[in-house]
Amino acid sequence: MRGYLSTTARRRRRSTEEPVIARLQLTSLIDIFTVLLLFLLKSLVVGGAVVSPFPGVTLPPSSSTASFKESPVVVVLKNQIVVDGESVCPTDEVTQSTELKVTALEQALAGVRQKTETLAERAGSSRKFEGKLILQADETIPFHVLQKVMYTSQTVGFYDITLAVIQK
Amino acid sequence: MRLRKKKRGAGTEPEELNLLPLMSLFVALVPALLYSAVFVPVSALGLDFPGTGGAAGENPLALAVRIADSTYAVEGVPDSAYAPIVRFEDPAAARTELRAQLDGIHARYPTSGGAILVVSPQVPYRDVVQVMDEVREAGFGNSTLLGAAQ
Repeated sequence: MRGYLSTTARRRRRSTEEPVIARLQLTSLIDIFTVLLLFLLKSLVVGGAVVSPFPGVTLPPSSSTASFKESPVVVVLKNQIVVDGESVCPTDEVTQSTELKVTALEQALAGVRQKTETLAERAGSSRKFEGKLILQADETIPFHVLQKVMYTSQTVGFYDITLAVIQK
Repeated sequence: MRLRKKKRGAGTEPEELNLLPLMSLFVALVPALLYSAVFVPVSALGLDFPGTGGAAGENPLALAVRIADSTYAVEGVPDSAYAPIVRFEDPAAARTELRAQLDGIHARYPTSGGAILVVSPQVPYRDVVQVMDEVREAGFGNSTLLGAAQ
């Protein structure tokens, strides 16, 4: 009887059959990758540093399309001021201060400058400290707070300040 | 002996493309592009400072735009006086009027570059950037920021 082959017979039959090669269907995956690649190529930044908005900051919109150079970042949030990812002082303190210089910010920026110079020295780089700084400030921050931040940055030697804005 | 002609396609399977090298390329490219992709387009807005050799310092036309809490005022244009523009009632219309004034000045002084923005302390940063845009788009280039006395 055909339907009731013995176990030995079944084994014998299997061994005589050609081995089954399972092939992956990659076409759909390639389609996904192609779409993803095109999307990423569109949003690729060439010839400049990539700057992402710091979490919690709402940058003002602008028609500017210029790109950044690699520089330290100062973020002025509604509640705190951040230098290179580390909180420096509360924004309220700067708002209420009558002095232009913000001591805590000055110390933090001096540290950043020193670190940059030390790294350049160790690497034997001939590049001097360029004094570039990127300022990410919330769009609602009053100008006098920014004025204090920019003034303090200049006292440490960061004369070339670039404002980060969202492209319209 | 008569040779039987083999039917075309009979017994042959369509050859499959080897997509694995392409996959390897994509697997390498996608993370590299993901790393350098920007999903929120952040751009740079140049800024000049007084005494740092900015365009406004070299300019024979000392163009200044005063941004007060409620008005815009264009100053520093020889033989011309511009009435302040009220900005809090209709900000968009006020910016359009400011732009018209700036365009007129740039038409008279096409070689001039740079403008000084004198900003009142309580003016929000967003408003300052909007005026900087108007100044740049009118052809004056980067702005120099100054704080107005309280």
